[in-house]
Amino acid sequence: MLSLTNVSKRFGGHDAVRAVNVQFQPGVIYGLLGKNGAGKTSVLSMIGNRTLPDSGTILLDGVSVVDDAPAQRRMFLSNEAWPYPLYSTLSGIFSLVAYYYGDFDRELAGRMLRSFGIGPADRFGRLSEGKRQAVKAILALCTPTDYVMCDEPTKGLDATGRETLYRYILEAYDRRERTIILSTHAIAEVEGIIEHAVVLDGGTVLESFDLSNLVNQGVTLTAERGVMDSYLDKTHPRVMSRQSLGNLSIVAVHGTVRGDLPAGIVSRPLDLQSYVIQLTSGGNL
Amino acid sequence: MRFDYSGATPLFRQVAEQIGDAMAAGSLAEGSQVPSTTEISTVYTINPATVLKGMNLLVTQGLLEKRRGIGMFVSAGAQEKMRSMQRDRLLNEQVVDVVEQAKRLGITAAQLTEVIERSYR
Repeated sequence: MLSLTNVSKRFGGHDAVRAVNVQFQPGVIYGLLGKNGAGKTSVLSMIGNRTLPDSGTILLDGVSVVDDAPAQRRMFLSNEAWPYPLYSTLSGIFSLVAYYYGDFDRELAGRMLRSFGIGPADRFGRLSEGKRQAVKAILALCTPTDYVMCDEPTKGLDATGRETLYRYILEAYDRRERTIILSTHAIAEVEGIIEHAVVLDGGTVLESFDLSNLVNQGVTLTAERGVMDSYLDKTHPRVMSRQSLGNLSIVAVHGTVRGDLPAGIVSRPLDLQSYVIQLTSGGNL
Repeated sequence: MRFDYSGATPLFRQVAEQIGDAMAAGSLAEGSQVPSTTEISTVYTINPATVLKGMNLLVTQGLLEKRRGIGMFVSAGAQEKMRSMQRDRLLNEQVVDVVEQAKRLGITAAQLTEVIERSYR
């Protein structure tokens, strides 16, 4: 298990990560979700030892990952950076990565390269943005690490590329079951493939839940304003946002609605993206 | 199979429902092997744990059985059991809902019955 306890990080005058507590279990595919600036990249950077936490601990099976080579070798972080030679062949890069991480799934890598129209003799420095993104994903999915972290894996990929990547993520997971953490804005797209969602906002963890419980996370209620007001006065649910449409009141409520709804109130469940948007908009939607 | 991401029904339940529908229709014959969790997961890009949860739901309902090392198979009697469950759901949930709606709209039992009988012809 990878556990972050009270992890904080300040950049310049800004608290990017504030006392984050989260655990990542073995063999689970996670979505790390949140707005730009929520702290997702900072959290992954600290796990991947690209930057050090100001406080708190990051433990992998009880051992701190900070500056610890054996722990870092069990994790792979793919992000904006390309820390490998720009003009070596991809085949050469694969050998390099195989040497550091102990192994590399060349069979899967070969098929992924072909799917994205890339050749093993190609050089990263000469590839288009979409193909560069694909190469980063290939590295992440073909190393044998127990924890794989991808920061915006679909950025720059067209729709076909994104779909192809999601299939390969599931295939890689089937070939070698491990923890995969996908930090992404493409919330609706990943809803099916992730098992657990961690929502960050303003540097803290707002929610962490299993996708099969999404139906209990939030609902939208619609009713005539008077009916809605008296319902809210009576039940005091946690309101995420409120909109008016003529004399209709549309309210997004956190959690489930206990008991039967009075006549005149219609309830609809929230899909993952709508729920996360509601949760992280601070009532400003 | 088609999946609805609007949040109305959890995905795992949708997986169970769709396999169940195939069983009731007879397109998944009793004793035959159901596609593996990996197959369903890759084809529909759904997390395999979610697919497994859906299949386990059918196992607890006695509709699927796990044969260790081989896979999941449609249980004997599953088709009739599934159809019976669907019949129950239609009569006790969906028809009840329709009657509630009819009442709200001021439709009488006689009017509703007339439409039902006409549709049966």
